[in-house]
Amino acid sequence: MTQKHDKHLILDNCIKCSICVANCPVVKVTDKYAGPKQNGPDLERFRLDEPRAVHPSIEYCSNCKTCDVVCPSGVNVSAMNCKAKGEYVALHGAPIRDQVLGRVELICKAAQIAPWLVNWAANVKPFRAIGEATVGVAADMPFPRFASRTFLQQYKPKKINNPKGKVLYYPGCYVNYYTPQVGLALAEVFAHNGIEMVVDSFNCCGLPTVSNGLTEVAKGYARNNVAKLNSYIEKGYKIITTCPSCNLTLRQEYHELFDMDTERINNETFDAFEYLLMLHEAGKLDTRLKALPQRFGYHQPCHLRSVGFGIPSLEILRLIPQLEVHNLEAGCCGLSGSYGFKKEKYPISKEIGQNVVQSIQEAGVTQNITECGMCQLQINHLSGLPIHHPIQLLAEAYGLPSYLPK
Amino acid sequence: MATEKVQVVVVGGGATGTGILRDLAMRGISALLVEQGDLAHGTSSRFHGLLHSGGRYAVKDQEAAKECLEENMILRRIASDCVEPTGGLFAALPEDDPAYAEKWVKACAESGIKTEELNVKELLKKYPVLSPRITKAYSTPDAAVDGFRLLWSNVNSARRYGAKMVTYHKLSAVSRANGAITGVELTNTLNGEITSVECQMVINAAGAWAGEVATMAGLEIHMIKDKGTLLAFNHRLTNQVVNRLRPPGDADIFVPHGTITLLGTTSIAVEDPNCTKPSEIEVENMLNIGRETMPNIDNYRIIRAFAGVRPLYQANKGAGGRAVTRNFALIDHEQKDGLKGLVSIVGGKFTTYRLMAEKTVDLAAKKLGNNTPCRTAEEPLTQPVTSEMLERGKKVFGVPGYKKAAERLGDAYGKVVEKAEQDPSMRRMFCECELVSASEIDYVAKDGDSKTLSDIRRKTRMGMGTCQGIFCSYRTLGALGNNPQFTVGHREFITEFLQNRWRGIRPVLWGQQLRETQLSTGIFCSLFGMERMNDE
Repeated sequence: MTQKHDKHLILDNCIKCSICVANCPVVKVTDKYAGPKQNGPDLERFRLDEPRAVHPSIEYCSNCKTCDVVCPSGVNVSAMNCKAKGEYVALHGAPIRDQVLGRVELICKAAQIAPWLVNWAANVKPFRAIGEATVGVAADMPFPRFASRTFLQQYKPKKINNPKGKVLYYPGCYVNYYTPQVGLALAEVFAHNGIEMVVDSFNCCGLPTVSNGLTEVAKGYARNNVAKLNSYIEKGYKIITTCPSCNLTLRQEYHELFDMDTERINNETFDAFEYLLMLHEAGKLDTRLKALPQRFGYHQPCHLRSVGFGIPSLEILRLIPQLEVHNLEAGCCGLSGSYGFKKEKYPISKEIGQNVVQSIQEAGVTQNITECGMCQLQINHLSGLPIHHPIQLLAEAYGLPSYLPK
Repeated sequence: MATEKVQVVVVGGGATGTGILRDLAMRGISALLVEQGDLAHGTSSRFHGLLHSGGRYAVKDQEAAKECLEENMILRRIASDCVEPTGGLFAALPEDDPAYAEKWVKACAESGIKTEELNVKELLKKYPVLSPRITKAYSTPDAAVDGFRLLWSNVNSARRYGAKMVTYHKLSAVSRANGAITGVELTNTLNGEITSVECQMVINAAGAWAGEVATMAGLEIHMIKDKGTLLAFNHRLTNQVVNRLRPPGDADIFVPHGTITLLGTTSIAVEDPNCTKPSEIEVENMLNIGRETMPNIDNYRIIRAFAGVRPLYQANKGAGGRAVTRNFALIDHEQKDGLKGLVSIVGGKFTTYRLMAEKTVDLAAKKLGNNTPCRTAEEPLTQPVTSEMLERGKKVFGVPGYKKAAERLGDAYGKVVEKAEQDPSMRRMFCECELVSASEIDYVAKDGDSKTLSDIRRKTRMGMGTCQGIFCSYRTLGALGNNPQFTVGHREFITEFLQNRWRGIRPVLWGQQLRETQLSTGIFCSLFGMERMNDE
């Protein structure tokens, strides 16, 4: 995919077929959102003359990017919506809540002073009730729990002789602060397969920031990240992510939203399973896997679908004997990062997620996997069932430390 | 047979006719305007929507240039809702004669048209769509003007002064006695009813149809009917009018107009004033020329082509096309043909419609013994919508729908907002491409002058955007079910509307517009089973 296109030409591609509206998970459950077409390509024509032409309902866009995926005309609907949201926030300001929720990196850093205290406070009902009444953070949506030590604190690079490949792992905020076990399991899998993995400190990819309309903040993150990623790519590293949203942002969003040239990053960045699949196709992946006689439901995160490289995790997990993974194919889980934490959006988020719950029930699975940390949180919240990252199953099948709860 | 009595009957609901009606009414002369179709169905909406700065005429005709400039400034003042003060630019390419540019700068200065040389590098950065081959560029006070809106604003203002206006009425006879006009006979084109109007004077402002009107009075006016075709692009390519800095020719003007850009025009002599069908060859020729100013023009989506017939008038026959003057002529048939009570106003251009009306009414008033001076240059056409009402509109229609609706509706905006405040279902956008709300469509459908969906379209822009009416047409008709005018004959309403849309799409049927049309064909011919629609 080339990145050199005229944005306005894409605007001309929209034939108003409304497939994006018909598939928008938010539109399906509420009439508070004017829909992706109206907020995106429809109003974009007006914004060429009047940049402030943004419908207030833009705040109801959850940035799941389903519109981009379903569009038969290749219109970058969600980028138009994100920019519009940025324009709206620049003009009208964002509530303090959104300004905080959007700055995931800052929240996480601040919480490091005493993660146990934050975890405790986050689950005290009266505190949450006050939080909902004062700043509008939904009391019923559980916060993810901070790990006692971050991934970067815990990870010790292993020396690999004659590595088959060298990668830089971009863990993203969620793995680094909440689920370090995912990064640690990945490290085990890579080391086992002779892949050298290095880490570095990065900014948040910026997706939560963009989703809350804080475009300028995100642009700052993007500049730092792009410079640093490019320096690794120059040294011959491939960039690896386990979070689909980080992957999408690094590869496509910086270009779509900020006109940054990220063609090289797009070519050199891979989802962990995408990379493992390439190894496998080259005959370099160890396929001596032990049997896992279990059943899991698999949920495909919207942003994984949006990057458009299929579901490589399912292909790799198929190598594990006796493991049965059922693709739930239920669409968006509804949380969309900070979206479902907002008081007025919590019911919408929950309603959207009912498809996933229903699919889990129909499949009769009692445990699930998905790549996205936020999807994990939502599906666990709505179904009450345990959920993990697929890399942990792979580590388990290799007989490596998988950090799965025993 | 109904009968009426007025002092003056004005024939022709174009810019000039509506301007005359308002002027007459403001001077206290009772008048009736007769239009054979819908208001603005003719040349006054079938042009590039350019409010000339005079720059285009400066070298050839300084008087015309000065008139344009003066009227341009007046319209910005009295019709601010109808004028988009985009500013313009004149750009020269290497193949354009540099001597013309020098002459042009000098002529603009002499005509009082303010020009300023622009930094070409900065201009290209601002509008990457423009050719990097541009050698020189100057800014001018050009603007975009909305023909539909301006005409309705004139009529609404005239009606407030007591004037009358009927659409879908054709002049079917002119009565004369003792060398003077005594009245006219009108035929309702929708139901065939005949109305007889007693009057002292007929003002022929029928534009391209002026010859036909004269014939009815037993006289002859030789009109040169000159077809000009235009292309509508899906979005604004620039935010300023772009003219070519060379002697006026075809396809050398790009006008950003609301959400779209218009490229025009051509100049082809035609026999029939109803000949407004754009041809493929004209489209191709225009793109060839337009490509010089905007090299990537083929990549941009054209949503339709349309054509208008310029009513050119040359007292001495012989000239044609661009050589014919764009100036207007006022013909006093009492002097010329010995027929008392008939005045014809011919030629001219949209930009100077008000001046044409003023001169015409000056003559008419003198003949009627009325000494009231013209005030059309001073009094605004509409009262500006109050900021309080705009705020209320913003709450129900959102940004930017509220502003566009306010510009379109003018004095009626308050009623449309109130309706949407009372009934939230009226806030929905029926036309999502051009942001026209259910409330606005409902109001316009009931205004008494809307007989077809196209009439609603001309007043609201419904169906004039990207999808060209695919979705808003049936949505609107469905919602107008409780309106007696639109209760029966849905198939005919839709057919009339879509055929008019498709007529403009056919000459540009490629790329995304072809896909759009396939979608439209799928919906109407397959889903709605209208495949046996009559061809036009």
